[in-house]
Amino acid sequence: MKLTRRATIAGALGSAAALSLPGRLMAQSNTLLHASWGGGVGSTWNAAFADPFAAETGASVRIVDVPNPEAQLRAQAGNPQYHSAIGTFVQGVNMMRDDMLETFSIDELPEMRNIDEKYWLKTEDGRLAGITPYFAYYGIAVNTNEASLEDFTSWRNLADERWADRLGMTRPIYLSTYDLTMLSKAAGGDEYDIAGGMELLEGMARNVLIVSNSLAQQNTMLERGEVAAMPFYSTRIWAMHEAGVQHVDMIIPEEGALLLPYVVVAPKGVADREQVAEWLNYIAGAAPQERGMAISGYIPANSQAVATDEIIAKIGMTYEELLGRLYQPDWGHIAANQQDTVAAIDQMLARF
Amino acid sequence: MPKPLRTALLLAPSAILMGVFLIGLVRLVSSSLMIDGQFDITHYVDILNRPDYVQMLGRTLRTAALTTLFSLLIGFPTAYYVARYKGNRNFLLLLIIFPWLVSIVVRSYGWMVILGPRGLINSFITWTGLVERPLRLMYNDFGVILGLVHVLCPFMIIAILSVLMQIPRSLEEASMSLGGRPAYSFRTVLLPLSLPGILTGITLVYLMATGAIVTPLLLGGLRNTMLGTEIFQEVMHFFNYPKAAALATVLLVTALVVVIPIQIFERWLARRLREGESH
Repeated sequence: MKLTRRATIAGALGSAAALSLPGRLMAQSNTLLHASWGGGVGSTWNAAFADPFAAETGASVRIVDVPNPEAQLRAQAGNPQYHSAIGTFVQGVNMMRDDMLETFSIDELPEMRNIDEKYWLKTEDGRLAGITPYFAYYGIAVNTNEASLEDFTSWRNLADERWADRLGMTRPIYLSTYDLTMLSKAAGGDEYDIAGGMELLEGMARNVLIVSNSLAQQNTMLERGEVAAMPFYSTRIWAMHEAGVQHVDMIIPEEGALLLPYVVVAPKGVADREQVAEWLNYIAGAAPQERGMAISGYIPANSQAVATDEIIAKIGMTYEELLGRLYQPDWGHIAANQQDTVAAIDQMLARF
Repeated sequence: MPKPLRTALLLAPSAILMGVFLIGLVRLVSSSLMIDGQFDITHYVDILNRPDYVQMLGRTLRTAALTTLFSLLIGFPTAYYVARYKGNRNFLLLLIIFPWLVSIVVRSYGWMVILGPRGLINSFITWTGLVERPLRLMYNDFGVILGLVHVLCPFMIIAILSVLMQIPRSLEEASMSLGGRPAYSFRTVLLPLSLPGILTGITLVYLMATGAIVTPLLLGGLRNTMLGTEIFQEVMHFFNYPKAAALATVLLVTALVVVIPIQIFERWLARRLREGESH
């Protein structure tokens, strides 16, 4: 037998097709595939959303842990393997602008009527490009063995020289959307006026011991006291408290904390669209969101969700009071300028 | 089975591998140069116009070179010891490759426990009163290079070991019996004969260090971002594949500037060694 170039190429293509078969079969089955971050997020989604949905409707949802759900949707654009995926609001905006998302009418997702419209991910013609399952917030986490919460009553405190080599910081990709927004607010600006925020960010960066966007690493740094404080996610502090780590706490500074809405989206051209709409509508409901809060501290987006006394005691206030202390920026503006802002931060940090 | 068919089947895996690699390489370069179907060098111009990228490239190459140097300094004596060991050599080999059984992330966290501000070393020296504040042993160049040497040194050791095992001990003994001191025997006998392994090890470690992502991310600080990390960010966060491809191409070309001369030298050396054998 002579091994020709054509035979080699045919063999390689055949192998590739065979390798992609499991994914195709999975997407064609009746099980909905939902892409989720790992690190405990997936297990919360199983317990709070997927398992009860299966019990109530008989439809099954498989939560698949992936490092970056948005990357999965983008890689499979035009041939989606997942039925839904979670993302940050900025990721949702970016995917919506790139016309990657399936859209729904409000009648298809009636539970969204119980979610404030300012948290909707919607297209210019008013269709829903996703649903908002919950919020977290971004405040300042403090190891109380190393510093006190009162040391960080303002975002400005992060730029104080006394914290040299004692702070942690995330990478520019998140600095651009989260930290810079709050530092700009603390400097008298906002997401539209970031000049003052950039100055504070530079001051904060001078105090930084470590830069990381690994949540596990940030958890470890805070817990071990390698860093005294760093801007961090409320849900991670909740998880630490639930695990018995009480010496890491979070403060909402006087300028407020950043409200982080999350979105669940369906890729454009998704299979089993009706079933997906039912799943999305379920996620938007109050009951699963209350379970998400109890398990992982995700603040329900649905206004009908009720906080139990235990929850109120844990967060120290009611949902309404909490939301009143959180800042909701124009995520569309932040998403549109993200690449330029990251480039500006990269160049600012390179001057050190 | 007819011989031509057997030959074809044996060659097929490597042919496919090389084909996939080459196609990937061509796609990489072409996607960095084609924007909306038009030939465009915008990404390259942007990269060269950004001082932070140029700085990052320099840092990447410097870190890779230092990692290679330290891996060689540790790897050669280790490989020599294993090659000349008279006991159970497999056990030593197992110890060398043992770190590969643990993920890079876990190993990097291990360094945090040892070198961090609240780590073993800093806790000890602050407890003894030698220093007032913890020393910065990681989240800097030192941490990144240490982590990379830890991860990549086994490649250097195995590359050198594979050559050292083929050098008969009698050659060294002959040199010394003719009056050559150990250093002289090493310089004139062992080192030239082991150079192919050393060069292979250098190439492997250098290339892997230039593309490192996880270790610089976990053990590096604000000023230790490497090009691999930036490429990761462009792919995973911005999905800007053309720009990531341009950065990867720049990294590839600069790495080849070092690797190609090494490969040429290695071929020349192999030819010289073959000629030496035939005399």
